[in-house]
Amino acid sequence: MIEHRALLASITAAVVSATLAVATPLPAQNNYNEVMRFGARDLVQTKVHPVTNFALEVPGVQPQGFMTVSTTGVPAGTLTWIWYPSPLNRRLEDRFITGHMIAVRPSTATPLTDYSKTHSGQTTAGVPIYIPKFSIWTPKARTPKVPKPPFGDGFEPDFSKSALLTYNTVHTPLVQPSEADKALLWSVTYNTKIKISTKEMVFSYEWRGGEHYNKTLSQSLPTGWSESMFAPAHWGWAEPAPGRKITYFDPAKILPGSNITMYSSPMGGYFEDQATICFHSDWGESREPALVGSVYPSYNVGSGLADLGGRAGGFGWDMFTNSANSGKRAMPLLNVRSTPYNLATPFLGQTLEIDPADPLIAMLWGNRLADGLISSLGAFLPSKRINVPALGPTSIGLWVGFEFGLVDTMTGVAIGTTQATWFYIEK
Amino acid sequence: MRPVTRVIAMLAALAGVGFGVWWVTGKPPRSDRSEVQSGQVAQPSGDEKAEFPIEVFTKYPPGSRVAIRLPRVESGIPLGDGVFLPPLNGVKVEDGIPPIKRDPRLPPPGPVVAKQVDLQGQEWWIHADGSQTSCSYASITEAGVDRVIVSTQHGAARAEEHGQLPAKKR
Repeated sequence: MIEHRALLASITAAVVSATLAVATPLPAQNNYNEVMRFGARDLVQTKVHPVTNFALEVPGVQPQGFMTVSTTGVPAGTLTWIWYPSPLNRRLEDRFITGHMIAVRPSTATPLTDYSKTHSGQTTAGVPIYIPKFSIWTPKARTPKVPKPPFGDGFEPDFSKSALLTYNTVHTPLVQPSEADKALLWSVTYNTKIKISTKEMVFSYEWRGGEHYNKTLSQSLPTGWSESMFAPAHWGWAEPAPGRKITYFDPAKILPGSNITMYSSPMGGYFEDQATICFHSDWGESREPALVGSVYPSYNVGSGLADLGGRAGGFGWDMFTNSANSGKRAMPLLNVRSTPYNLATPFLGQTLEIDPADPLIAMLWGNRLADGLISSLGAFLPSKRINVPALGPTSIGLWVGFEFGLVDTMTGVAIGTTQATWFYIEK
Repeated sequence: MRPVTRVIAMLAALAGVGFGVWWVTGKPPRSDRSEVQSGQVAQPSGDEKAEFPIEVFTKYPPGSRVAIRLPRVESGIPLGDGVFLPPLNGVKVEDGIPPIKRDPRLPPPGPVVAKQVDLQGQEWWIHADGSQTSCSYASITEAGVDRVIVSTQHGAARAEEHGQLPAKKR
């Protein structure tokens, strides 16, 4: 309990100051709920392609065939897989998956002039790409590490079992000339809900084969998104079936000169049917000069490891549901614990995923940066973050958890909860 | 009671007076009633509502692109905020078409300017901002069982690549 003192005082101060602040509505939003991303922080890539001058894909973060001298490229059926640590998006009941997303782009060897060309098989300009096959796998625990990382030893896909879900259709849109040299985010939504009962999930994206960084009209899964210290534990590649030999991402292959904690990985995510939280923080955002202080929230795993012990920080939670919940209250529930709470608590027909007995649970009620009404588009997006000063060494090792309850303000009835999300104060 | 425990207990009492109470009252503070503004998607005027250009229904060969201006429709591919696009690739509205997902940091995609057919023959609506929307029947395998669903696809450049950096801190 002692170690909670600094955090408690700081959060209390933040609550008071936030209550005095003036809320500013965000600009118009489109409906975009339920997304969690694997990463969102850019590395500065200084190496460029000798012909196109585009920033190269980051070496070491694509399958080996992508960057080898030979241009035979990535073997068809290779998987890039990612484990998303459950404390970052904990749901202690069945999940219902309603879609997925992935960023893809033509390789940096594709010159701008190619975008305005009419290529073989086309009658109009544009560069062909594909949206890879997406799968969710049963998790398999990895070999324990010493010392144990904050989010555990990690998981990898269990290829001895059928995938929990595979979206088999591969879509092949053309990149428009106006979108040349941009990483495009492709979202795929389903008209059905896929039940996933495992608490941990491992995702994969399948390569078509032949992709190579130096091959025009090839493509990549863009990298350049950091996932801080999680990276070694949670992603890599797998050879085509039936071998499926797994390669783990090796941070030693990252660019020389880059901070070793600033890894990259493919940018992907998924959608849930239930209301969700997207946690964001300034430490999770890019610290490259172009992005510091930007409005862009870091819905990413990089926010999961905070350095609030030694520095001031700002953090917040956006809540996404659907427009049917417009006008309902997004009520914040806070926990500070030495370990993430790992029990589902039935309460008035809902499932709570943080500790209902934590004395801090109501700390953020009335704080306009965490407590408010859901918009007509199904989102609660506070316009500013909660800022706290450096919390001191006693805060290191603590976990901060957060969950929203959804409450009908007319009837006072609880109508749902989001999942819980936790971040760890690392330094 | 230890001092820290006492402080926590006091704060908890001040903040909430019991876990069950908030759950059944559920009233947010007045100061939180700031609404996110509705997204706006450009639509043709009402005069065009009943006039579907022939290009909407025409099947074009793979790789084709035809300019088009769409009338307003009341159902189809949901873009959010009550705006729809006509279905593509033979998908029927009654089969249920899920809404697109688009980064909320981006402005709405704007009106459709073209219909494009990719190299596999799938039809796409091309928006004024270069983003693309489609819907189609798709194959999934759920725990070893194959089935067909309706899915919607939407692609847009990352917000960071729309020339919006740097911007004011949240």
